[in-house]
Amino acid sequence: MIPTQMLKGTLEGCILGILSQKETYGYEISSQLAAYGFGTIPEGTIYPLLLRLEKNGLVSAAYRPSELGPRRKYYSLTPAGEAELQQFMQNYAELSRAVGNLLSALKGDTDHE
Amino acid sequence: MNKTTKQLLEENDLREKQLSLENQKLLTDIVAYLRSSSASTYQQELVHRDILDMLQEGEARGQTAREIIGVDFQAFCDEILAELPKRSMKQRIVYGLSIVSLTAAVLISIWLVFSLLGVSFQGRPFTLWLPVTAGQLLGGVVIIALAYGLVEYICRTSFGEQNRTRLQAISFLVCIFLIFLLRIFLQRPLFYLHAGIAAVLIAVLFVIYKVTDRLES
Repeated sequence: MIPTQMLKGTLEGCILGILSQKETYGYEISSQLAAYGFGTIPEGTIYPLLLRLEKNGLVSAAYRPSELGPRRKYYSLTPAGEAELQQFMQNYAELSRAVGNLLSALKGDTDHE
Repeated sequence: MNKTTKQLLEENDLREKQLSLENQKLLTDIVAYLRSSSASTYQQELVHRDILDMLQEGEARGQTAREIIGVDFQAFCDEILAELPKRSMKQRIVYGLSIVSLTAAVLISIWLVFSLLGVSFQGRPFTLWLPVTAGQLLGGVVIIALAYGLVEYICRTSFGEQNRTRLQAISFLVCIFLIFLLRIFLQRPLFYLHAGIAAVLIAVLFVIYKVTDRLES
């Protein structure tokens, strides 16, 4: 399981990524994250993040009827959210490269010993 | 509160009854906790509705509240509250005024009824000029302050099960004791208020309540 602290900074970007595929709702986001290997992230963790993204104008929400309940809140990416996602992808690639470099250097050191 | 908020609140309360008893109880705790925040009632009710949808759908999938929301309900609420816009100074004044004017109107009505009964059955010549004692005046202020302090405390600690009934019992006893003290030691009339003026005062306070309540979102 990925520690919550480590997940914190990236979860918002990942939600934007999932929403860029198609508009969807809280539980579906949680299931997709689980399918991508994020582990169990309850809807309750995602909802406050969605509120923040909505407040900052990165996603927009609309209520639609569903087959299970009387109504479901669907979220979709706004143009600002699209731009934020591009930024996240760049930042994350940079982080991933840096951590990767460090880890492979460590691995190289132990290999030579 | 305004019409839209009131409608939303009634709709939410009605729908809440469709949840399992366990989730109803949890949602009551969540809403109580949201009530202690400085977000407007309308914002609180929008979130209330979203959580209601979440729990209802989760129930239909056979999930428990812990699986839907997570293990820490208070942290969930705190994260939500951090994203909700706070009441502005003006909104807070309007909200405070609506609460205080209603409570004052009720307390003055009670005072008026009991004072009128008092002068009617004391055998002294009947008069509509009713005495207001320092004890009554202070008692009223103490009742309002204690009542809101208690409500605030219960809301803020809605996720802690322990000692709630004990706290209520203690506050109730302290309240009664204080009122008795005030009634015994501060019996001297401060001034006399005409029943008609009191009635007008009640009406004015009630109008203030109605107006500010309508303005509050």
